[in-house]
Amino acid sequence: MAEAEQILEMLHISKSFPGVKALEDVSMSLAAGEVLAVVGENGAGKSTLIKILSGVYSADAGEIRLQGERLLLRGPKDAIERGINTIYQETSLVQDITVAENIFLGRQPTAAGRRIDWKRMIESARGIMKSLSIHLSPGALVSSLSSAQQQLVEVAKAFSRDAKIIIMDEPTASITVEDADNLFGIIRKIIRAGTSVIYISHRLKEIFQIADRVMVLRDGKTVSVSGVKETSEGEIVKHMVGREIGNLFGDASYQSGENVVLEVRDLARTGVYRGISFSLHEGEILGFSGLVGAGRSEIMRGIFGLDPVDGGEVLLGGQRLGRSSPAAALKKGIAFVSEDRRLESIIQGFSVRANITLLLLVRVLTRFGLISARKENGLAARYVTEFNVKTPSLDQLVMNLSGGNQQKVALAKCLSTNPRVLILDEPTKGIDVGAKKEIHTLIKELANRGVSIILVSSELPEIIGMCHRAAVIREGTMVRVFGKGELTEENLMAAAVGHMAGGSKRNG
Amino acid sequence: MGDVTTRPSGPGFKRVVVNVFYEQTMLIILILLVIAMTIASTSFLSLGNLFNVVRQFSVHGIMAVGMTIVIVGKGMDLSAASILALCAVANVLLQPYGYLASIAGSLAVGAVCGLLNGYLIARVKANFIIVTLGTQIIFTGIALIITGGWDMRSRPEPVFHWLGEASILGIPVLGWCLVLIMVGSGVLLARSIAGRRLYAVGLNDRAARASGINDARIVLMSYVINGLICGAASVLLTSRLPRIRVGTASDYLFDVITIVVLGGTALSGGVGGIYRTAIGLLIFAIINNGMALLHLPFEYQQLVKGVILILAVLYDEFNRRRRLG
Repeated sequence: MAEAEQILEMLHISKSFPGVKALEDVSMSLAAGEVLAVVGENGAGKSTLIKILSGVYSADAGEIRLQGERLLLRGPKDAIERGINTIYQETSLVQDITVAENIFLGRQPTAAGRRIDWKRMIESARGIMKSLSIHLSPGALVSSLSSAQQQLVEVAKAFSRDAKIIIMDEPTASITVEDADNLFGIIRKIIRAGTSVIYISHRLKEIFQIADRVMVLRDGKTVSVSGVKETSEGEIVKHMVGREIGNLFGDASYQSGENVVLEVRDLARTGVYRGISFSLHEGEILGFSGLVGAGRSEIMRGIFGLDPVDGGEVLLGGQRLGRSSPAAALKKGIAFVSEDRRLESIIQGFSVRANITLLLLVRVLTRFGLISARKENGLAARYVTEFNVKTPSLDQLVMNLSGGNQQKVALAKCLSTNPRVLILDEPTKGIDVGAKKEIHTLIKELANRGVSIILVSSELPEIIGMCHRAAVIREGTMVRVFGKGELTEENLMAAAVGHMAGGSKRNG
Repeated sequence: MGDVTTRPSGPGFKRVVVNVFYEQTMLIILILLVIAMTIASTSFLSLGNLFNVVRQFSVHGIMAVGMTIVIVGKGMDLSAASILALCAVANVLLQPYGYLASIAGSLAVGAVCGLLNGYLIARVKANFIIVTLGTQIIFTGIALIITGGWDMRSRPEPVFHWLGEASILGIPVLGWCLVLIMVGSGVLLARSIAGRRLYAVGLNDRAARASGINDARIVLMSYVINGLICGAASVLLTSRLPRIRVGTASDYLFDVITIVVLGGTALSGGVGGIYRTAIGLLIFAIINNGMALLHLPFEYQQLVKGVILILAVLYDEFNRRRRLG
């Protein structure tokens, strides 16, 4: 099918959000019956691309052509009506009704009067699923299906709406290999019927199994588009990360001490991560790299005692931590800054003051055991100055501060207890460049003072520029720990997607 | 135009005024109510009437303190009035063994009731509305079984008579009790570590947990304290009234929730406090007193009370949206 009809074209699409250029002059085309894979690091612009195509966002510049006609989408419903269906990672099915009802939601066949024609609906649903070899009962409740089965229902639903294009956002992220193979079989049926598929995935192997062409995005730009037969996993990895790092992070000449402060042995949580073992030295910054959803945050939550663990142990200064809870961890000297500023790392409805002093209220009491306003203000003011938090007053609610300043408050709170181990989960996510730099400087200072730091980050340059060593987590297991000399974007990305690039193989 | 120096300094003077207006809406309404009542009824400002109001609403006020604590922790106790009734029954039953025994009995029963609520809500993680709806029926049921459905006659023990009827410095003892409990718990809520943690849990239990706060224990304690406070309120109730009727205690629930919400303690948790509840109590008491002084028929009084609660909830929702910007 060399001269297949171009069903979709995106020409010079750009989209910005405050402070971020999410997409910059991205062009692509999609032939009828083709599977186009879109890959890229976290934040490369894949989601934005999908959302523009599915009518959630509108592009700032550029145009989309559907079958040669200019396409203007006013919303997701518009996109569906024009034949562009998107299957997101999280299911959009209604859980408490049947498969058939979901497939025909909002356009159920009706019989005389306005009654839903159940018989016809069930039969049509059965027919559609049969044509795709999906073996599910149309009368089954969606809530009784596994997530892989629910995905198939979504595919059937999209297909039944005469979709010209089906966009799948990491469809295999949470299903087993067998389920994925099953899904690929169904995708092949879909494309045989002339429908095109845009397939977003982190798993490079899959792309070679199912896609015709692969497009690599990086920092909002198209890096390459190539047929899968003309490229290799190694080349794709290189394209995904090949950016100039520059000396954003200054020198990395600082030294870590010898003493092991934190040791994690064989930590596991069923279905989430397993066999996690590493040690953290005094004054060391240990990076945790990997794709979003690989289990990095969950491991940190397990160490800190926020989530239960099913096996393994954590030793601090050679002593085993007993029953773990955040309170116990904090008392022993482990602090944790969650990646979720809105819901976890700080209390949005509290003032700057109340957030900073939350862990250290015992230090600001009067002799009657009550909180002293004077002492509390003093303590909070000191940290606001030290961390350069930009706030009109100590009474300001944290929710009114910028992301960077919120993060500084979160850090100040955690550091008020003088922890020996500081776990930072995506500390610079979504904050402006200036504050980011300040936080990087702060992390290095802390390490120089002997604090041992775990830095979870999805930004490879941050891991490479900040860390002494970095562990890579993939699908809940620790793939490898890279030493300073081996910290390159290619190595980290290859390990994260499960492809060991030939050049980086070394003999033990 | 004109003189720079007379202009209010700093940016956003207008915003400050607007904010003060929003923050103190209920205080302004209270002042307007007092003025209106003074004009409408000559007897409103008489000491006799005011002390009557204090006696009549001291139990409400004390219970509102407990309810405030529970609501700050993002909960609600629909069984509060039933705890009050059960504690009052315990109080009367134990009166033959002396006033200390009966007071201790009331407090103990209140604490146990609160512990049951708190355990189910904080540890079992059951929904607080359903739990306290259930225990409301259970506590009332137990009280009815004990009394056989009859009124209980409170014995004129001298201590209780003093509590209910006497005055210190011209102000009813009941009023002193109310002020004492309000100021004490107000200070603890605003200035103790446990109080601060309760606000943290009410605003965001996940973040509180990540900050090493045992949120389940804090929530559990808030229900226990509420139970204790209901126990204390029952002592005053039996001191003031010669007869205790289990069935009528349920009226308190509605009134107490109205008072707390009216004051501006947020139903979404973590915002509010005893100062606000005190203002809510005054507004509620004055409106009720006013309706009585103006001889509004009972049916209309009910109507007004219902409307006030709905307005209070709208006010709560308005404030919530304003906080979120």
